[in-house]
Amino acid sequence: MTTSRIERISYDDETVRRFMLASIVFGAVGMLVGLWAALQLAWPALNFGIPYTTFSRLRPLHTNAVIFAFVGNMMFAGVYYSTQRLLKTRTFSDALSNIHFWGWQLIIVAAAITLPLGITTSKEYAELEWPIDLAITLIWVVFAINFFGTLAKRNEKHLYVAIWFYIATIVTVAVLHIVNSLALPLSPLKSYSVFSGVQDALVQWWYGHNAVAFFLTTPILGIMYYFLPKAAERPVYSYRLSIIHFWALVFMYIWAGPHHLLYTALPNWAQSLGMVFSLMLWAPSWGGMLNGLLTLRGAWNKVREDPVLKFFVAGITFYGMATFEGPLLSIKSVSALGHYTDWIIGHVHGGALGWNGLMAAGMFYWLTPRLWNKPLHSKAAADAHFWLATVGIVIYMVAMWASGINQGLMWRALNPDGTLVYPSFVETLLAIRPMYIARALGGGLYLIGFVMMMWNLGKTIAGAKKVDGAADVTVVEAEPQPGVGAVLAGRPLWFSAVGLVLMLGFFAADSLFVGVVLAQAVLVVGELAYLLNQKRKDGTGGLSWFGLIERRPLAFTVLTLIAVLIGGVAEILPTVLVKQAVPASGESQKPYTALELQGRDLYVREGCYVCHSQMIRPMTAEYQRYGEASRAEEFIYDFPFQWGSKRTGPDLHRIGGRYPNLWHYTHLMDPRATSEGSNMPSYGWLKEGRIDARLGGKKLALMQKLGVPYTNDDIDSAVTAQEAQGAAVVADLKLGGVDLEWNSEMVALIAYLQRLGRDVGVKPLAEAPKTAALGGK
Amino acid sequence: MSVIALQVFVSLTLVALAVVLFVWTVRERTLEHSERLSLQPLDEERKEEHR
Repeated sequence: MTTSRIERISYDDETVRRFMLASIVFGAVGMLVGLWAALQLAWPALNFGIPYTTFSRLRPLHTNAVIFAFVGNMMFAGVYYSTQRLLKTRTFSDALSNIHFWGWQLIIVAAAITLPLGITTSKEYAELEWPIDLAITLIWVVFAINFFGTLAKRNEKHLYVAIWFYIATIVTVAVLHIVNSLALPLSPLKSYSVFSGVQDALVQWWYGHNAVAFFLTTPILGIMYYFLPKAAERPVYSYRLSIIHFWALVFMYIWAGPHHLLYTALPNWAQSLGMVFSLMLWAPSWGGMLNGLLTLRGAWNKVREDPVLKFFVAGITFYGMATFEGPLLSIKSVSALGHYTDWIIGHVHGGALGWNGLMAAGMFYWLTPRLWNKPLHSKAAADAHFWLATVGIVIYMVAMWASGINQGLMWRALNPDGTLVYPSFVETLLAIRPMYIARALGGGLYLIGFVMMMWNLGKTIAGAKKVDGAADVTVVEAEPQPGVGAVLAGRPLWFSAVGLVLMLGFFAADSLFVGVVLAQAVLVVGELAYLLNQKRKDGTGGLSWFGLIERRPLAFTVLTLIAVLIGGVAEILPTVLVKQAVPASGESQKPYTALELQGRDLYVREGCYVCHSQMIRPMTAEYQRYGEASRAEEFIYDFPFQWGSKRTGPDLHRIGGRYPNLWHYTHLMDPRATSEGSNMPSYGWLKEGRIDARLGGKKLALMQKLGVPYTNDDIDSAVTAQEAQGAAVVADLKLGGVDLEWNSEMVALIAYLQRLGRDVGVKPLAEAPKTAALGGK
Repeated sequence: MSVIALQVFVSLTLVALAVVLFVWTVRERTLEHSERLSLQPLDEERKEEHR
């Protein structure tokens, strides 16, 4: 027997207001830093000679700020607002909401302090050091408790599709963050990844790709499914399509990470798997986009009048463009051209500025008048913002497409005799400089539009009183819950299980052909048998299986986690196989000396990986320019890996021994003295900085724990060994008239650079191509 | 292992699964409450002064 009563619910909109304002403020800061970094690529002196404001340190600050501070805070605002209304209840705990808000802002402040200081793990979009990683985990758990607590006390039985996307976000981000952040601490502000080389690259890009998927995409899709119908005043085009959109997206997205590593030392089959799933992702992504756009059927006239809808429509369209371009770039032959180039920068900004930025603006323009109970100050200003933003994005993307394709074509251009048409890397930099200036212009327009929004929303809020939403809801008590058995007996679950068993059988079969035929035959016979014998069984009061699932958040969460983990396991498994395939005896990579390790840490601190890759792909032009292709076994002691993802400068994997020490010193002091036209900043402060030689032994000891074969003698004699190796570099530099201390940071970095790519099995330098390909004249 | 065979197998399996789920969905009317659910975001609410 159930009873029901009417209860007045007051929503917690103060948390929504806080997250929204934080997003706007940090968004402006993050974009300003991005603009500054972009200008430095055209005018490198704009770092003003200060290490903290140099491109290679600003770029991680920019990406972290816009991803976690701008989009993160925007996402939390949208989640808190829509979840309460969709579940017809106030958030579980105001105290947890407060902890979540202030904790997240503290994390952002910590990032803003540590990243310019060079305190970084060097793993892209996961640069923050271990104490901050722990804080992120803690605050994410607070968010999860608050969210699932709200689910538990809800007054609406069924979970609307937006809630599913939020559930997927919370569980997946937790898994990704924890696995990718596994590290051994050296000190309170320095740690080393527990993964190395190929394994580290796979884990990092499994994380990196899915950070885009589950931090920048799924929560914003949830927001789209709630706020777009709100703004359009009509339900979503197809609720059924949204169900397919959700399950297809969360299942497929997690497999696609290896498309970031095409033509690298990753096993070829893993690359192909990543490519295939990336191509398949196109279908659910466009299903979601069309579902969003078609929601406006019969209401397109509103788009002309309402700035909110303008932003939403353009945002969803950019989502469609980015999710078309992503699969395109995942095709290996396209990736061969586009990888390491500015094309990728154009692609991600189409998603970030277009999808995330415009959806955020639309949501802010919709929320502000409702949270302060006052009409928007200026619709004309909002319209102007829309056009500035749209034109800005287009200029930005076109500039980066032109620049990227230009780079890719120039890098690979060969003369009939097989030599490089453009042997000097700097030639490409000079060719794309106008595009860098155009990109800064596009970004600048976008930022001006954003500042106009700040002014507009500020004027709206000024003098207005805050209001909170409230509703009368029917509270049903003693509601009978569907049993766990009914959930587990669902046919889709059984189909999935049978599919997995078939796949395992396929892999277990000796003959590939027999495996395929058997598996397909069993599947087809099973399907026919099921279809022929199907009878409607409905003993649950009329609710379908999916209806039951929607009423059980725990079951729903577990199923989502399973869908995500299948792909995750399939990607982690290769890392285990790769580990077995790579010699662990040190035959293919000699462990770094203590001084080289110190230099490597400086390479990480300065963010050299931001502009330089250490992964030569197996292509003729790359061989001509950089030397022999990189192999997996050459990175087994690289904790963390330094493959990079962008070549603003040339690849450095085989830089060791190619130039004298004096060249490196001169280049680091003034890059344009050795490579006229280079846009690399000067790193003069390395000359004055000193390494702490005592840390050398500690670092070796920690590496020993991670499996690097250092002896105890190596550890005990680390200080004297550093001094001896440093003194040799110093003596060589002295011949060129340069006086340095052996413990100068410059010496350690040169020692590391001279060591790169010179392991056992690599062809002697005498056989390496004799070109001036790395930037010299 | 030839990646082509693997791709063919995975693709055919997914297609077969999609066909079965589609037929099953149509016959069972699994999503009979979807129209009601799609209206959830459109619920009205009142405003009260923030305290």
